[in-house]
Amino acid sequence: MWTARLREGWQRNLPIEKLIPDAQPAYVASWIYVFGVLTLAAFSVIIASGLILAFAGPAWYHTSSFGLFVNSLHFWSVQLFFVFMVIHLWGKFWMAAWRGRRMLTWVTGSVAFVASIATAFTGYLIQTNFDSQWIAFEAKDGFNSVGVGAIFTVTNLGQMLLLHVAFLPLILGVITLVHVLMVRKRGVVPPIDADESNTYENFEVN
Amino acid sequence: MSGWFSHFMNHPATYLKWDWAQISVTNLIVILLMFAIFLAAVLIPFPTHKDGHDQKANKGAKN
Repeated sequence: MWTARLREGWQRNLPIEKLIPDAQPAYVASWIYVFGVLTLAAFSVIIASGLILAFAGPAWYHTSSFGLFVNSLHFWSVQLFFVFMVIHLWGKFWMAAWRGRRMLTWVTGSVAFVASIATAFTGYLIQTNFDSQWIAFEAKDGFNSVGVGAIFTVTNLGQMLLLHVAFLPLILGVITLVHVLMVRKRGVVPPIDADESNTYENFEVN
Repeated sequence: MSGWFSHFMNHPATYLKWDWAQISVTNLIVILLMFAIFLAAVLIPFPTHKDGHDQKANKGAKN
């Protein structure tokens, strides 16, 4: 039965003790290990404020004071999201976080970074102001020059809006979920000079 | 808005240029702040508790 194989495979690869641990190796007690979860926290604020903007619509968020606040909250949480994500990236790069069979963790993080840029870019394009108009008309030449302007039309507000609120957040959310599950499966990467025995696999969860 | 903030928000960005490379002062400040946060995260000790939970967490770790 495929459901039994799926369950057994999940339990073998990602047992509940790894999925929801109640202890971490000692080396995790460092501020540089905080930036991954800070990125996730900022992402949560982006999704929550984005849902409010999507349901209430531009006639609300462009005119009412609370709408403008939520619009700004959405924008500034994106700025913090990128700051946290880039510092997380620097930290993981300098500790060679792809070590210990963590290649897929590194690759999903890299893909999530690229998907984040695409999502933020479409967000800038749907501001419906002079800034978004300027960005769109500067970017269209770039996309046309590489031959994708016909299928990814930055001056098409409807296409950019739908990509920003429907497609790209879904893609980014799925990649982020896989990234987090891979972190839980392989464990948080140890610093380069850490004891080899101090790995997640050998760490006893309380 | 008034004073320097009004001036800052209502004028074009100031750019620094070296040959072919250029960057706005605003972007440079943001990047330098990110470097500062990164260095602080690496250098500032993380607060730890001396209770039983952490003693268990330290088991198997290099001290």
